[in-house]
Amino acid sequence: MTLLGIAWRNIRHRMLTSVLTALSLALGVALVVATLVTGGIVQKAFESGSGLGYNMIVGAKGSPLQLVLNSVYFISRPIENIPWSTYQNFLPAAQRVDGVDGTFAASTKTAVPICMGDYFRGFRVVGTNAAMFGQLSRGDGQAFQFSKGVNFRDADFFGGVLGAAVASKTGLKVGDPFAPTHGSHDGKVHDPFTVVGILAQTNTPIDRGVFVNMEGFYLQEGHAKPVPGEVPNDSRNSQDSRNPQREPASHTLPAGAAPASAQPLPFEQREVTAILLETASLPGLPSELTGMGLRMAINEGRDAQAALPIGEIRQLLDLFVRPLELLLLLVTALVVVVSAMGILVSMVGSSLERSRDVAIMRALGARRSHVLATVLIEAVLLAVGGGLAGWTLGHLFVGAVAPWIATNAGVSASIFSTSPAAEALLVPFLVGLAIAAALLPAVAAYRTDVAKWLQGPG
Amino acid sequence: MRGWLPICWVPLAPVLRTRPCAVPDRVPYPTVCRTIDPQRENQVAARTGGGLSCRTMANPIIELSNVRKSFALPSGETVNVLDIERFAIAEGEHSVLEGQSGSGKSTLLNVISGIMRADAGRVVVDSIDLTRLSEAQRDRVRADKLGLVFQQFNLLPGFTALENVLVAMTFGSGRLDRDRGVQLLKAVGLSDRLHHKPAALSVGQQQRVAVARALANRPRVILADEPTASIDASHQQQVIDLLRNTCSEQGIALLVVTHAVEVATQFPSRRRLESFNRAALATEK
Repeated sequence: MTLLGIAWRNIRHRMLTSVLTALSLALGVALVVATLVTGGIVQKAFESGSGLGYNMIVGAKGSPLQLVLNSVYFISRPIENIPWSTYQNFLPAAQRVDGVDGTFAASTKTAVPICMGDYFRGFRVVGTNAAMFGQLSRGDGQAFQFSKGVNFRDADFFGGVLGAAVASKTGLKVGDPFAPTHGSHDGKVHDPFTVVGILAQTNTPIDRGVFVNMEGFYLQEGHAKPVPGEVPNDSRNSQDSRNPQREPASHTLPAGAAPASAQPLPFEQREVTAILLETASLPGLPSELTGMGLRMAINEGRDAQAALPIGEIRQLLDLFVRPLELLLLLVTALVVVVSAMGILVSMVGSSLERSRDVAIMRALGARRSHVLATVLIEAVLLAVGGGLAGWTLGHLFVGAVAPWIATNAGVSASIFSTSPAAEALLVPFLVGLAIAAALLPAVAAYRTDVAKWLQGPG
Repeated sequence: MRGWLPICWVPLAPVLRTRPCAVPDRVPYPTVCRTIDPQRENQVAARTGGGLSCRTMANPIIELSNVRKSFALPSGETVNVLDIERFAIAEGEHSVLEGQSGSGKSTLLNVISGIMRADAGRVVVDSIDLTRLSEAQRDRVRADKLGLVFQQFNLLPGFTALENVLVAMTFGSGRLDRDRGVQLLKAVGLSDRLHHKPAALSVGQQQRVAVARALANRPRVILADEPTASIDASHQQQVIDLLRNTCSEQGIALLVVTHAVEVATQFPSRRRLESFNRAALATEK
């Protein structure tokens, strides 16, 4: 029989105490694992959104973090809209009415406008154009993939593309109609769009987005910017009264794109919530410097601000998420330490019985080191048992909340989601903690007076 | 005449050490010292309280000389418990040690088993001087050379009968022999109680497990401290017979500490601790 066998039998003998001790440890470890894994998921969620093929976001003046959170992660509220003309500043001559390059066209590789404010069954609706999925990448340099259907065409005003989580949650399929609501989840119901494509999972906030053609978005009630002297009304109803001098949006669309039943909203009535920019490199300048110059130029203007998603997210992580995660970890680590104290309490509680057992073993020839090792092994077994149970519990918890995380954070989480480095440290940490907790009873066992416990003075 | 346990001792043979049986299993026990001059033996016996002098004993398995042991009381006072000039047990000898409560019987056993270290003198077990050994070395000698049987049986409550025997093997030098453990328990009549924990055994069965455990590492000596004090009269004789027969079969020396006259009278060699322990004598005076 090995010392391990002896320790195991001691644990079995004090089954109730042992199970309760291991259980308290398991709950502490489950908390730590859940905190570690969900912390990792939150971080991954933020990091995944900070590199979606664009490196700058232009939006209304205000908090750059709010701009990033709203435009990239579809959380928080939009600051304000910016004029269509601001968007045009990033367009090359070929896409502009005046046939002249926009002010920032040279520094811009891709500019994708987004319009927000509508919802569909709790998900954000984003009005944009086909370049969103045609020209931007999904962050890892790969083009967006469609699990079903295709990207909407600019000419298809009422086409829409669903993120993977949205499709999964709503059950919508290609060809199904869906009608966003205005301004809030229970706002006025807009005209229906049709699902033309469902994106493959990206593990980014894109999975939680409902993307509709911006042209159709503009045509919904309340989306047209009121023109001075004109009564704000349904933009489609105002088509006839529109100033014929105004340039139609069809200038930016392929010829014959607009369906006969819907005319695009005039530029004057258009606004965008933000512009996703992929900056270009100016000849002789590294792209970072180009981006920096562009950002400064935009921020010096009165209409808009430029924010760097990576910088903002790093700042958010450094200032808020990581300290919070650290605080949570600290609290849960304290829970584990308190649980480990349970080992000490349980062992001290059984010290009377243990002293007699130790005396018997010593009388049978066990050395002091044997009994010391047996007590420590017992503690380590409890810690490892409790730790493994806690680890399993923690992952079961993450598995249970995975659907909620996938829907709300756009990051796939499962029972197998791990935080490898931290979890690998967990077992040595627990073993160390258990040894520290068991040291006192182990030393007491080491010093047991054999003669006293076997018989009285003769 | 004493009643014998209804146990067939034949099964013990395969598990016995191939040591020649030094003594027959019935009294009177002729020990190896019987060849000694009786007159000289009587002189030594008078000095050593009835025991055989190690100077005259051919093969002493236990040998104490000028052993002293004292304890410090919380008050600071020192109490001398043992002061023994000579004490010896011959190889294969069965002996009983009597004495009043507090005369130092248990202390003497603790000193012999190496649980306690003598303050002075020599304690030799199977030619090994325990007083020159470290505590860990004494532990090893205890595991290998001695089998201990206690008044309270002292079985590990969380372990089955077989596991209690195997635990003893764990600390010995020999290999862990499960088959031997099973055979030892069969030999003491517990073949159907191998996997029972002590709480599920009767007191008699528990003491038999204790005897099997004491035999686990093929000891040279069994020290039994009041082995019948906690069991009823009907089981007392069974335990004494079990101890004596087992030790006789295997040539193991047996030293039984008891204050039960009915037990003591069954042993050919009886020693009264007060008669050779000068510390006890001093206390009496």
